[in-house]
Amino acid sequence: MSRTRLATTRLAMTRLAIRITTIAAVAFPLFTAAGCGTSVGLDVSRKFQEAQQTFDQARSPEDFLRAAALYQEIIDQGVVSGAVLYNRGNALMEAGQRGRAIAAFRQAKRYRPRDPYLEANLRYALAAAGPAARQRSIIDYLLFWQDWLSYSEKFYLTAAAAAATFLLGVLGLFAWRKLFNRLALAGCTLVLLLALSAGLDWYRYDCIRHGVIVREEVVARKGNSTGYEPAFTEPLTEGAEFRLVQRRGDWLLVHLAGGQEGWIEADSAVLY
Amino acid sequence: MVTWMNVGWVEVRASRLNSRSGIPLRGSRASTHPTGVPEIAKSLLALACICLCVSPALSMAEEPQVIVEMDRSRIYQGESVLYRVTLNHVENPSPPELAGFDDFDVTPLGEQSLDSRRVTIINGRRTETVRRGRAYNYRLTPRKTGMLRIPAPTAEVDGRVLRGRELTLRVVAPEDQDLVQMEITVDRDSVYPTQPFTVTLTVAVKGLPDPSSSREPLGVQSSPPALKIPWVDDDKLSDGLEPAVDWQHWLGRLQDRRGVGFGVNSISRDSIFSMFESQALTFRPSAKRVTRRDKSGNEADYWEYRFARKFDPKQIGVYTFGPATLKGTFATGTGQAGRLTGEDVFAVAPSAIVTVKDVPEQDRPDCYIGAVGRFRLSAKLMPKKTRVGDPMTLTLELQGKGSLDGVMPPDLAGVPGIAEQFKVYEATEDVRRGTCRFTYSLRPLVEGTKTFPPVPVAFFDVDEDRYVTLRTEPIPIEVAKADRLSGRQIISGPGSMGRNHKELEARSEGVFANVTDLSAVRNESIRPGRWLAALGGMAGFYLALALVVARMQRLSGDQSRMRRRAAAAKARRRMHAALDELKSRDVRRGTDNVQAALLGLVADVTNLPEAGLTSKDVGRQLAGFGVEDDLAHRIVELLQTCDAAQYGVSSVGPDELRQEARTLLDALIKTLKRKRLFR
Repeated sequence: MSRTRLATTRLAMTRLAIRITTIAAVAFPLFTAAGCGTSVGLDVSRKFQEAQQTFDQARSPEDFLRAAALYQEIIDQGVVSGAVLYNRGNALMEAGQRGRAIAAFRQAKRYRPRDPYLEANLRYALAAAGPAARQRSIIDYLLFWQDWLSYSEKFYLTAAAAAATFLLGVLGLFAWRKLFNRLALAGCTLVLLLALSAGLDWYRYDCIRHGVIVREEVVARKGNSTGYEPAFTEPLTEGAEFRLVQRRGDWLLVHLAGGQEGWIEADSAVLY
Repeated sequence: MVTWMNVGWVEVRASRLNSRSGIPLRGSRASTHPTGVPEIAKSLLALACICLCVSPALSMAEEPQVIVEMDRSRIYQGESVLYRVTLNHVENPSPPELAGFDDFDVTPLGEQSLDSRRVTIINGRRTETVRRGRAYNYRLTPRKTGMLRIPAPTAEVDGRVLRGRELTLRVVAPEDQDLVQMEITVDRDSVYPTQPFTVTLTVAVKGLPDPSSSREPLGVQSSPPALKIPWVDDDKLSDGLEPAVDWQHWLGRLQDRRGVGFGVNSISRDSIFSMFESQALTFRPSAKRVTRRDKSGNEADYWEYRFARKFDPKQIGVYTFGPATLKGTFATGTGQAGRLTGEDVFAVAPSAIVTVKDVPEQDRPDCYIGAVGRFRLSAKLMPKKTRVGDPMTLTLELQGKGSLDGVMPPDLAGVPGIAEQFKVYEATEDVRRGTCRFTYSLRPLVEGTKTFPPVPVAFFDVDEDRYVTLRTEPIPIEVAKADRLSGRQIISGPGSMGRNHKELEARSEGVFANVTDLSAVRNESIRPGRWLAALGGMAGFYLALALVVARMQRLSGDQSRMRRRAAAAKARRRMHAALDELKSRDVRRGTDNVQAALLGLVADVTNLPEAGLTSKDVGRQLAGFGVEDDLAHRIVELLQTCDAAQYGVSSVGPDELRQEARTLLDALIKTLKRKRLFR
């Protein structure tokens, strides 16, 4: 009698496990869709084509600036796209605005890290602006995929790993506990690493503000007015990259790649 | 900061050794001190006394003077003396001229200002004494033996030439003795860069006379013999030489904690008992008993000690190791009362020379890049699918053991198949320890190129004494036509290449074309907050589920609960059987089953054994459950009726009994359910 009952209980639990697994399998796409990107609407596609047409027909810097402005309009609609940012960078480069182009390429690189064209164009833009400001830290070596996966890919992968770990964990509650729990533990470690990677990306780009000098020459000063002495012996040139430390009115305290800091006027740089 | 203090043949390098780990640091504050600290102290004291004695007289005279001092007047061959020239009462002097010092190697050891001002006030009378001067220190190492004349130094002061005094130095040649025999040997006298070689200093000490001949000669020394080995100090080695291990580790393995062995280069450590004293360290390589010929040509018993050190040459050149010297007292015989007698010995080991030669020019391949050693070669090309004019990155990595100093990137333009199919830009190189990485930027010129040709790289293998040429594997690639490129800004296609190659190069820079594929335009924005909430929700859901499952599993293992939950169904089944039996007039079995149904129900609910329950127990339990008195009473009566019926004394008929039993069981189950006793 008790055996029958035990079998009945097991059956019920197995059914429950199947139900939960099904729910999780359905929830997974919804879950990723809730947190990650989507395809763009028709109006954005039209705008993109219009911008591209303007770019192709452009003959003067003003024409290229117009194309860049159209790409910017797409971005202003809340669309974050590596392709749009890349095209905008190209338009700015053609318009002779190297500093703004570097900023656009840098932003695009976050979403298209493996695009060789983007890499080549960024290098080309940086070639005239001096060495790049980016320096690899120990954590970059530890999370070696950091510059290889795009921002959204990091989140997608983390979500996928989390869902797989969840499924393994749920299965481990009902059957082959040892195997599934070990797999789930490995999955947890993977999720943590991927989440760290995604979180680091988020922190670096969303919490820290970066910038690029857009004027031909900018004198960085020791304080936030022209009355202060220059901070460096040489002025900063267009394309010099920095990290924003502080903003006071129309002045920015910037931290350069070499560790130096100085104040520059806000309209002499573009922030992203 | 490095501070050197040189006194005679002893050099003290205090600050550096304090910061290093190694022998002197073990267990104490450590530094190197000469073993003959009192001797050095005496020398310094003597010099200071001379200065003090001379200076008042000189200051009185206030005439510019050249004072010459030397710390010793008798040394052994291979030793050095400290030589000091003081220009007294001279303002802003120039260094003295040491002309005619042909018998010596002169090493400047720095200079020291003697400028001072002293003010004394006695009974209100102020006296000011000003002294100007500068001392110049040198180390003189004689080149020959005998009584050597040290010429007088000269100095030009205010247009006048001042002369110091001439000194003499007696340099004693090593005695013709056979108590200690020393030699320096190298395992290879000619090597290539990176080819390691070993320099060995062998010290053979003659065995002790009978009856102590079985004892090790170093074990009877009152003070350890002092060895001076020039290649001990890593910082004094030539730039092109690198020791396999640093001197602390090399000598550390030979250190003898009992104080038996050789003192080497006056290495000592601070005493733990005194801030001013130091403890000389001794080093003893494992001894080997050998037979050697003594000075009379007879075979004699010797104890051999070998100090072997391995070096990796990095640069071409001629390197001299030596001479090494030894000073000490060694036993020569047995005196009265069996005590050993000895004599002072000064022995010198002649230098050995190692030539680090350049790799041969003969048979040198064109693809030789300057690497010497033994290496592996690998290549990586990214991306493998590309279009004409698009950038590609080729990384060549040379990894292994050897010298990569001065390596040059392989000339890809000279490799057959590369120049015709690819535009190659200047390579960047990144040389780290044992690894050299060359990174080239390439742009394919020809559509349909299937492979990237093998790249030959040659290095000189020092072990095999020949050039070795490595080749990378051909890398399969796909080069499509340049349809993504805008003709105005981007590199031109293969058709125009042959016509105007210069134009092709000029256009190769500039931005690559835009992304035009609409499917590439996606909103890639991320909402980390929502994502994080979903992730947290999933984790929370998992935890809740885990708790539920754990509870379910725990409950499924509770036997009393299982019994309670099944009690009602079981009682109904029994009652159903009982009613059937009563219907078929089987009163005995019917009443038995009625009893079993009721008693079993109460036993299951209370988790008691069914067998021992009586109608009174049932009545008590039902009262405990809070069942109405009337129902409880009727159930007890029914049970008693069943008892009586089994013995044939019941006045109640089977039909009446059936009716009553069914009614009471239903009522009891209903009551117990209401009171939640089946959970």
